[in-house]
Amino acid sequence: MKKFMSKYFQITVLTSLLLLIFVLGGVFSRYMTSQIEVHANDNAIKEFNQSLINLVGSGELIEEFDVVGIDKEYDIPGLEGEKYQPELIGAYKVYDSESKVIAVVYIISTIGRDEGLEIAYAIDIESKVIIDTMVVDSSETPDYFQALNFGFYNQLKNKTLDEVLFNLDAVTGATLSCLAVETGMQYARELFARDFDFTIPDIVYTINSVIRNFDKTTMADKPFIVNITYGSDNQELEAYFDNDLNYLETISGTEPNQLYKDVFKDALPTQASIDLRAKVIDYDSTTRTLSVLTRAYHRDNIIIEVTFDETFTSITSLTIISKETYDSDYNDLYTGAPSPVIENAYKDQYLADGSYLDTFAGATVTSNGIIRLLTLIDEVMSAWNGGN
Amino acid sequence: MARFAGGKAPFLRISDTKGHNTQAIMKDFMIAMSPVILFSWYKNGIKVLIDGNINFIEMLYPLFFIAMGAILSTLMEGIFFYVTDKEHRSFQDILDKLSRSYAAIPGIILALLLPLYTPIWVLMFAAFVATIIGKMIFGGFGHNIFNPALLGYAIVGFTLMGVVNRAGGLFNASEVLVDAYAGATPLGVLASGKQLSFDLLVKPYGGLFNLFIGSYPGALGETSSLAIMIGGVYLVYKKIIKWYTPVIYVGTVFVLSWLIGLVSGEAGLWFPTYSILTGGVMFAAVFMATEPVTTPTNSLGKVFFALFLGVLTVLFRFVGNLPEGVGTSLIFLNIFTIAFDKYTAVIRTKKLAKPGGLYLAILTGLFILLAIYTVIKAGNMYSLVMPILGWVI
Repeated sequence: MKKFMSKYFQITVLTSLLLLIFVLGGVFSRYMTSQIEVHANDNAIKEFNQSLINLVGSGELIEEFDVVGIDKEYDIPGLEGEKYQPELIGAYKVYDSESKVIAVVYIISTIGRDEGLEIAYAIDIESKVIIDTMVVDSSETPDYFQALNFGFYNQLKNKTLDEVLFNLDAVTGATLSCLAVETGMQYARELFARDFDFTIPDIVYTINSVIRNFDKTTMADKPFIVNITYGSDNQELEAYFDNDLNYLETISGTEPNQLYKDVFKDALPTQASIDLRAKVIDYDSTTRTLSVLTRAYHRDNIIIEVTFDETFTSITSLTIISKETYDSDYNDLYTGAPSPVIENAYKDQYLADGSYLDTFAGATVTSNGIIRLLTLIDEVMSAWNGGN
Repeated sequence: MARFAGGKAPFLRISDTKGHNTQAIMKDFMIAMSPVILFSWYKNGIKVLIDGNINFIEMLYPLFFIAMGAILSTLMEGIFFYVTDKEHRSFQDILDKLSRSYAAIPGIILALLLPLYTPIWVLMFAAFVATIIGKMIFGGFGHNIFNPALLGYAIVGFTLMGVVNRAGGLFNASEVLVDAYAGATPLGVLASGKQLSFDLLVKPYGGLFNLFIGSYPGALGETSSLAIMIGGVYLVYKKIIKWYTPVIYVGTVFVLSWLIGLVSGEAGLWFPTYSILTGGVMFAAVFMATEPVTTPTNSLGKVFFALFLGVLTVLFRFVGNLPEGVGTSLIFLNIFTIAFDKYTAVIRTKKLAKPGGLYLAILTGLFILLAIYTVIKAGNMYSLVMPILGWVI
């Protein structure tokens, strides 16, 4: 070793230096390169936080605070009877220059046309209003989502959390997305009520029963009779409601104020025990012809006009008026066949023995609509002929 | 009959007996480089730390990178001396040779030319090419044909630029956040779009003054024309370089760029100004076109060298698809340095008499032809004014 070093000391030192630079310099270079991603992420977070401060409109600092969501389910837009739990993605407190909390931002994920619509709701702590909102992420179909214009989002600005109904007017053609935004807004209020000193205003009421009006002379104009108990003093009310669930006329009790009427209209579709989607629209007592209507697949209506015999025990004629079309991808049975194949099938079966066919695959909404109407016709007939 | 003395550059005006030698040149060179080095450290390190986009360790990296360039090229040369000279292998012998050999300069220039995020092993490879292949194999200092730093830079550019870009490229942590840059340097925008628009080429980078100061994306040492000019003035003052070489080179690039702008319909002076402030023109003018070994020694040779360098820089920028033509044109002209020296020496002695006049005509004619070709090819004159010439070219 001594001999080696005495002979090759200089070159050993030089090459060792070179090696040391290679190793240490390489480590430093790698560190520099790895820091690029770190800085990009840090900057993305900084920019996001700044965007939330900008959303609030004032404020110096923002800080994430550790909260969890609450258990509350909402209807899935477009899927009747199915519910889901919105997801709290993040919650932030915004501070002013004196380190006082001035606003809170909740980022909530809801379901519209698709899952994963994430919206930030900024709420002012003191005035308890929604300051503004911002779409953080969205998988909504762009054509529909872009219909949510400035006018729609403007409803949310300065919206007070003290509103009883606390909902939004939807935009035509983007109803599902609008419902998602509304659900997120309502969920944000629930969170705010839990995290800060706030009580959600509530209206006390109970819908006791919803029945159809089978009076031949008034059924078309006043189709539903609703029995409600409302108010802190439990007032009893029985009233007529129209096909759009607007309050029409008091049968007994005290007529409520408009706020209650709006609440009842909002609540009836989910709390009524009968299917309110099947509606009586006309009855001609001369010809004994009843017209009933329901919403169908393409948002047009299916109307059935049925004529009864004198005893209301059988049907002398039945006509289905429909603009439904069917997707041949779903069922070869009606590939290329002109409508109203489904309608005629149901009509023929019903007229033959009074029964309903099963729903057709690929035309479920149309099938269910027709079944709904035939069921209503049976109920009317039964009411008029004493139970048959 | 005139007699010529021959030898290898540099030929010093200062006598060795006064204790001044190549070390004096190296010292002055380092002093001239210091504004450039300090600015590059400030722009890519200190300022980015102040912006809050890097930490303290990262702030030191530009300085570390430049120091590594110097150390690596010195080490490479030292190892070469050791391996090739068996008689003089002591540390003192090696140090003596290194002190006369400008060992650190190619490494420093390399580090200033390469992007900030160049891995150290790439710098090592470039230093090896520059020092061993570009200089030592030719016989060491004074015998090389090509500018060593440029050779190393060119080889890395051809072979390892993908590696450099994947490691992070030349945008520092503050510059990557500027949306206006859109990930491109000023010349990168020109090369990709070929549009002479102030709003595209200058405005995103803060204006012409900002280009002059050097606060725009680019290699470590090439961006600050102000710092380079300070170094250049110092070198002229110390008589290390001749003032007219950088002036003629920059002036040629300026005039040709202005003519191209005119032909393309852009008469503003902003475009030629932008052309000289970007792409390393100033850096090459002061520190590379004046390099004593690989550029002509007589004054007329220097003049023609600077003229041809200017026209080739513009030609490669506009007619070729290179984002900058400085390095390529300089390497190319290094091949003709001896020819420049030879023919301009004859011109100086023979004046217009044969064959001096002939050589002068050839050199001048060649320059003019190249200049016209560059302007026509790059501008729109070709298709509108001179259809015959356009068909020929």
